[in-house]
Parts: sequence; structure tokens; C-alpha cells
Amino acid sequence: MRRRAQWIGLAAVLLSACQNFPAEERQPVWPYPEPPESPMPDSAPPPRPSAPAPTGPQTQPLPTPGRRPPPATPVPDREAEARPAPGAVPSGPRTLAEASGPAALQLAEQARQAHQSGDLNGAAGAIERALRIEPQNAFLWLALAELRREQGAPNDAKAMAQRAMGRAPGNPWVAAPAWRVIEAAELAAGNAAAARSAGLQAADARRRADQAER
Amino acid sequence: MASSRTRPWRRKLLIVVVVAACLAAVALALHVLRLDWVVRDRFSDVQWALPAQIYAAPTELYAGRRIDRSELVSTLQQLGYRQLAHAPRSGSYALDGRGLLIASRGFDFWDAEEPERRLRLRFGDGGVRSLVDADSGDPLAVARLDPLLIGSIFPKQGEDRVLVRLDDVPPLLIDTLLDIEDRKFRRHLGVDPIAIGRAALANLRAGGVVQGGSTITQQLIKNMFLSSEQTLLRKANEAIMAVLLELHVSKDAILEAYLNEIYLGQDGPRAVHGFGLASQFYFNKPLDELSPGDIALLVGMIRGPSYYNPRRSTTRATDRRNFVLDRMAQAGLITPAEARAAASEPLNIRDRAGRGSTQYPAYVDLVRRQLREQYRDEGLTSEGLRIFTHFDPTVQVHAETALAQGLSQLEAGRQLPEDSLQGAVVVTGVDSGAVIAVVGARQPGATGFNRALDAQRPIGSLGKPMVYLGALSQPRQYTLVTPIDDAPVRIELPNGDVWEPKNYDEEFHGPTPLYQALSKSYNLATVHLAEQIGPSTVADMHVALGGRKPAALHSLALGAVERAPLEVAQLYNTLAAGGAVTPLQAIRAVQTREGERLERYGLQLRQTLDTAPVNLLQWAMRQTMISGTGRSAQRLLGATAVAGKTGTTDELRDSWFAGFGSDLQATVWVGRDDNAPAGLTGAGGALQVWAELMRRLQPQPVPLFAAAGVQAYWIDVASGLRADHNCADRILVPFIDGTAPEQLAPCAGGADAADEEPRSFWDRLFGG
Repeated sequence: MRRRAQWIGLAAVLLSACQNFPAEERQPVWPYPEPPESPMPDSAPPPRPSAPAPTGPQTQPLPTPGRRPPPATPVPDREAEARPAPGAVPSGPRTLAEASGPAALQLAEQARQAHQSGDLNGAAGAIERALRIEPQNAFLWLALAELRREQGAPNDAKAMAQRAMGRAPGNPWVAAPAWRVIEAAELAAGNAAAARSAGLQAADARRRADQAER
Repeated sequence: MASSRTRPWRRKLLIVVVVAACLAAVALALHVLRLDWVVRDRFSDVQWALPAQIYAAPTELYAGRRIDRSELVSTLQQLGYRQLAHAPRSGSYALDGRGLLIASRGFDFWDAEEPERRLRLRFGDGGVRSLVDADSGDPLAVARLDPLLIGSIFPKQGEDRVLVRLDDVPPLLIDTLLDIEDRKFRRHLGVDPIAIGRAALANLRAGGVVQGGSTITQQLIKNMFLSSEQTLLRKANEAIMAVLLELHVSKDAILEAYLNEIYLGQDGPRAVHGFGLASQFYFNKPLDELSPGDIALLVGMIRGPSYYNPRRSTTRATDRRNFVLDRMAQAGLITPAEARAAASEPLNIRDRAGRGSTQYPAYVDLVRRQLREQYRDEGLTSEGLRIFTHFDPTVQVHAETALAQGLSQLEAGRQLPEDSLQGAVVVTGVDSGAVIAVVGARQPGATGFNRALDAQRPIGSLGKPMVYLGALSQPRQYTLVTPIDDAPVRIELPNGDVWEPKNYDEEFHGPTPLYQALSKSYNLATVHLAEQIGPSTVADMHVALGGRKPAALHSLALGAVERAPLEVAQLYNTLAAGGAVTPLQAIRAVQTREGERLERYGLQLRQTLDTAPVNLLQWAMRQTMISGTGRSAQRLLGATAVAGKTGTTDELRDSWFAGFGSDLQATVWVGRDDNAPAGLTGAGGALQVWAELMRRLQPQPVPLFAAAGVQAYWIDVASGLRADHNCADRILVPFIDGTAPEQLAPCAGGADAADEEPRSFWDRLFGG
């Protein structure tokens, strides 16, 4: 019964690879998510009203006696990629087909065929090959997580699902199936509470995805 | 009477002679029968001992791949592809405007078969812009080149060969071979008495052996069964066995065996047997791509593989080749014009001779060790297994060059004795845990002590991130700006000794933000922090990063534990991967000689640490490169955002650097084999090699604020408090949610301490 559900889960991920997608319209830019549209705010919360105005010379509560360190090189803004703010409308690719370039897509298709013929190792090998081409592709990590779960490696599956979410922060189309994998892995490991919590997370992500699709 | 007296004597003699002759005949018959048994036994099931073959990762081609044309061309050359107009046959390529046309060789990979096809590539935007099947014109999503053979595992003092089938051998090679070695091969019965007579006469005249009369069959027998001593008895046995072999086996089978058996050179401990391997060994090409000149040289070498060795004497080898080319033209195998053209060409021997089994002994050593955990030695040296690895020859060459050049420059620049330094490099793929390149010695290709795997050295400051990781894993107690006191340390050890470590600059820096204590590698602050969280926590962090558990000593904070570069690479790969341990692997898959997949080594992943604290640590290690001990490297690297850590041990014996981008991790060790002081800090030595390597590899930037549950805030560098635009010296620092300081810095309008006297660290220490 569970095995069947797993098959369906993997098939859903890989089936999305079948959709036609317009090659020209694809964003060639990796990694996703898209860079934030507005620059990082200087300081997240506004200054507290209780803060008195500065008076007098500044002192250094954190002195470095002897030598003052050279001013730190400012961090280039490029490095300061912020995560999407909570509550923002979720964005990002929704399927493997949307997320993948032609090379990764073809290898995912090859993986699907290997999987259908019962060759789990061959399927995982093709996905790993695709991941070398697109290491940031969360859907590939998701596919690998599903395969590893089927292969009876729940810990690997869980870590890969977590990595999938790490590669697409704030993307509910990744989070929902990823939490499902984690739920199953926790169940397999006998962690009922963790499984329940993962299930709730999955449902929540699903809800966000549905809202965005409406 | 006399006759009657002599007759019985004569008769006796006759009887004795007859009996002796009969006995001799019986003995000979028995001998022949024995030889027959030997020959049949050996040939009933011709099983060559086939060493396991080790392949590099194949070059993947697809639109968007970041590789420029010249880099791809050098990859093709390394694979032995030749530049020919319009790339007419597999194993060739052509420059095509600004693009490239490749006639690829097919290859039976462990997961799928890659067809032989013609690929047309266009370049642009720093990589491959399009990939098209040149014959059909259809776009191709992905194609891979045949993988580079990087070594084989053969028995000690053993034979190595690449098996060929008669059908795969170019007819020109066979015709040339028969013309030079045995013209009557198709007709004789194993021996050629006329040839033997002619050779004997010639040898008699010359007073030594100048000519051989052996047939192909005799040569095969000699190679397979007999020692090389030149005795009459051996010659006789050889002739008998040759005839016997001809009785049992077809001419084609004899020829095929010969082509695989004949000795064609020596490569360190490895004997090069057969044309398949010789073609690889001398020309770096598969057999069917040999030119007439190549064929002439190989066939010519049979007579004296050592004497005509083209790597030893170009003149002798060229003369011999041209002699054979002449004969080929005389026999009508090629035209005289072709012979002249071929004779005017250089020998085209591949530059870098393999040493022993491989040009990349350190990597092959790692492969062999990982294989021995699972396979018997016999299986590895005889069953012809095909081993697919993660090895990347381009990265390897960059690593070898960066190390060799770097060490020479360091010696020259610091007046160190020439060749006194040694080093090791390990490069890994962060996501996959793939070991991509291993350099075990300064001289590329050197065998012997594999420092990358076997040099167990104290890791020094490379052990510090484990201390800071232990602290940052307690986010309620420690953030990146928590002040850590860089003040004198005096710890009494259980044995009564007193441990008083010093900073490298022998100064005290007072309270220092946690991240700076790491990025500037302050010993005293690190020891104070380690004492706060406890040495056993530090030891646990080693384990969580995928390493062996070290003894939980006080000095573990400063890296008092010995590790090989490969083990360090495991620790730092886990740091680069956000706290997920992926066991480092060299091998991707193992396939049988028939193409059946035996084993696949899939990606494994264990999340042993929370991502958020590791992400904070990565940021602090990024500061090492921006403003800390690694900043001298950043000049070489431009804007590439990498993170890392220097390591220096007592009296400058070991110089380490380990660091990473988001995709690649590299660990470099520099020191001396005799463990004498090398005179180099981590920054002065290993970092320079590492920076040059990373400049060549161009890793992807480290994502610094990516982890879930981490948010960045501007912090005033001086106060460690929240900053805004008004703060001249501010820095964006990541914090685990809910742990960022709330108080505003003076420059941001926060309360300042104007009414307080500036406090020295003593005041803080005394609680004054």
C-alpha cells in the first residue's frame, strides 16, 4: 500500500517532466529563487522609539586594544540574497519541467524510464548525473529523495528532501512533496511525532501552493 | 669365424640401438603428449588475465555548459582525438568557424550506451551555446564524450593489456604484421623450415643472432609458455608446441591471441602486452584510429620493444618505422606516396608516459583502496572490471600545476632550499562528495608516498571552525558578534604541566567579536571559547562533520589532532555542504567486462548538523577571505566569494588551507617530509597554492544568507550592535531568527556609553 503511494509520488514528480515547455521562454538564470526585487533593508525593524538620540563622542564597547582592525570590506550586495519575506506570494518553478533545462530534463526522463523498468539504481544514477548539470535544481533533489526512500534509505531521503527545500526556499511546490518524503521517512524510522509535524508542514505548503495557483 | 664372432656383438649393438631408439621415441611421444596437454589446456579456454580498468568522469556536453572551445579542444586532445578537416571519422574533431565539430567515439557506460555521433557546438556567453547532431541537424539535450582511461589494476610485476577482438583490428595492421613477421603464416603448419634455415645461415655468417626465423605461432608459444632463454632445447619445444597448436586451433584464433599477447614494452612495473594497450600506451588512441605510420612503428617494435622504444630513442624508432613503411609500400599495402608522407611525419607519441600504471597514481591509489574493501585482489587484476570514477583530469592538472608552481615560487621567494617542500591537494564536489582530484606529491605523476592519503599531520587552526561551530550551535548563548576574550590562557593539565598557548603575533586582542576571532585565527580567544563549551563538544563536532573522533584535549581547540588531507577534505566538505555529511567517494560504479553493472555507489547524505549554525560559520569563514588571514588570496580570486580557513602548526611545520565555494572544496597541505619546520604559515604557504587553484577552477560563490531560519542584519563593526546608514563601518551579519542584537549602535542613534569611561578588558574580566 505504502509502496504504491511512493510510486505515485515519484511518478508525479517525474511526470511533470513530460509537459512540453517552451525552451525560448525559460529563464537561463540559475540558481533560483529569483533575486529579490528590492534591495536588502538596512535594518529590519524600525528604530525603537525609546532609543535616545546620540550625544557626545562615540565609544567602543567592543574595543580591540592595541590595533584597531582595518575596516571590513563591505559585503557586495550580490552576496546578500535575502530569503523571500514571510507572507509574500510564493514564486518559483512549480514542476520539474519548469525548473529544468533541456539536458537535465532529458536525464530526468531517462530516470523515469529506468524507474518504470524497475532499475532504481539506474534511475538514481541518471538523476545524479542531472544534478551535476543543475545542482541548484530542487526538483532533481526531490526526485532523488523519492528514489532513495523507495530504495529503503529513509535517512538519505530525508536529508535530500531537506536539501531540496534549501535549494528553493519559500517554494511551496517543492516544500509540499519534500515534507511528504520527510513524513514517510520519519514514519519508517518510528518517529511518530516528527512524522505528524512533517505532515502538517506538507499540508501547509500544499495550501500555500493552492492559494498561489488560484 | 671372425665374422661369426663379431656378428652377435653387432646384433647386440643393433638391439641396444633399436631399444634405445624405441625408448627415445616413446619418451619423445610422451613429451609431445605432455606438451599437447599443456597447449590444449591453455587454449581450451583462452582467459586473459584482464586488469581492472579505471575511467575518469566523462565530459558532459550540453547547451549552457561553462567551457570554452580551447578548453574542450585540450580535453579532446587528451582523449587522443585528432584534428582533421570536417571530422570525418570517430575520434576526430574540426574547428568549425568559431564552433567545433566533434566525431565522438561511442562508449558503453555503466548506465547507458552513448552512441558514436557527430556533434556540432557553438560557443558564446562563456560556454556552449548550442549542441546539435551534425548529421540530422537536430538539437541534442546532452551528450558525453568517452571517458579517459586513467589506469588499471594489474598484478605486481604483472601484465597489463587491453583485449582486442580480431574483427576490431584494422586489416592494415594485420597485413603489415604478417608481412614483417611471418609472410607464410596462412600456409605453414606452425613452423617454417625455410625461414629457419635462412635465419640460421644469416646468423652463422654474422657470427650472432641477427635474424629470427620464428613464425607468429612460435612467437606466441614463446610469449605464452616459455622463458626467454635461447637454448636449442627450448627452440625444439617451441617448434613442437607450435605445430601442436596449429593442429588444435584455427589460424584466426592464433592471430587474435598473438595480437593480445605479444610484449610491446615496459612501463615501470607494468608489462605492456598486446596491440590494444600498446596503442593506448604509445599513441593514446584506440586501435582502429592508428595511422599507417603508427602501425609501422608498433609492428616494427616487436623485434625489440626496448631497443626501438620511441620514448628512449626517437632516431632508432623513426628509422625502424620508416623501414617498415618501405616494406608496406613494397608489399602494396600502402602507396609509395603514402609511405613517403608517413615517413616525413613525427612519431606522434603521447607526451606523458604513464608511470607504472597511471599518470595519476595518487588518485588511482585511492580508487584501489576503496575497491579492496569490496573485491578480492584476483578479481581486480584478472576479471577486466571497468571502474567508473569521479576523477576530473582538467581539475587534476590544475591542482598539480598549482602545487608544483606554488612550491617552487615559495622556495624561491623565501630562500628555502630547492625541493625541500612537499605538498598534497584534495578537491571534492560539495554536493556529491565526489573526490575529483588528488595530488599526493609535488612532482606530477610521482608514485610512492601518497601524502594526500597517508600524511597524518596536526591540523592546527583548521580545527578551529569545530570550536566555533560548537558555539554557534547554541544560538541562545552565542552569535557571530558575541564578544570572546582574547586574553592569556593558563591551563593546568592533569599531569601537572601548564599549557600556555600564545597568539601567532604574541599579542592579546581583548574582547573580539566571535566571527573575528575565527577569521583572524586568534588562538587565545578560541581556547577561551572551547573551554566555555567544553573540549568534548569540540570533539563531537569532528564526528558530526564526518571525521574520526579525536581525543577531547584542551589543545584540540587549536587542532592538536593528526589528520590526512583527505580526512580534512571530508570535514570541510561537510561544512561547505551546510552540515550534511556526504561520505567522500572516488568510485561511481563498477561494471563487468561484459557490460553488466555490478555496483553503483550512489550519493549518500546524512544531515548531522542544523543548517543554520553551519551557514553562520560559512559566513565567518567568508570573512577570513575578506578581512582575515585569507585575505591575500582574495586579490587573486577577484569577486569570487569563497570561504576557508588557514592552518599553521608549531614552529611552522605544517601549512594548511581548506576552503570552498558552493560547488567545490579544496584542501591543501604544504610541509616537509622530514617534519622539519617548513617556515611557512597557512596563509604564507598552502593558501597561495589554494588561491591559484581556485583562480583556475572558478568555483560558484558560497550562498551566505540562504539557510532557513537565518536573517541578515547590519551590524556596527565597532560596537557589535545594530547599525543603519549613519554607521560608516558596518557589516551585514547573519543571525539565527530571534538572536540578533536589538540594541542600536551609537552611530545608529542608540544609547552610547559616553558617560562611561572606556573599559579595558581587565575591567571586564574583573567584573569592574
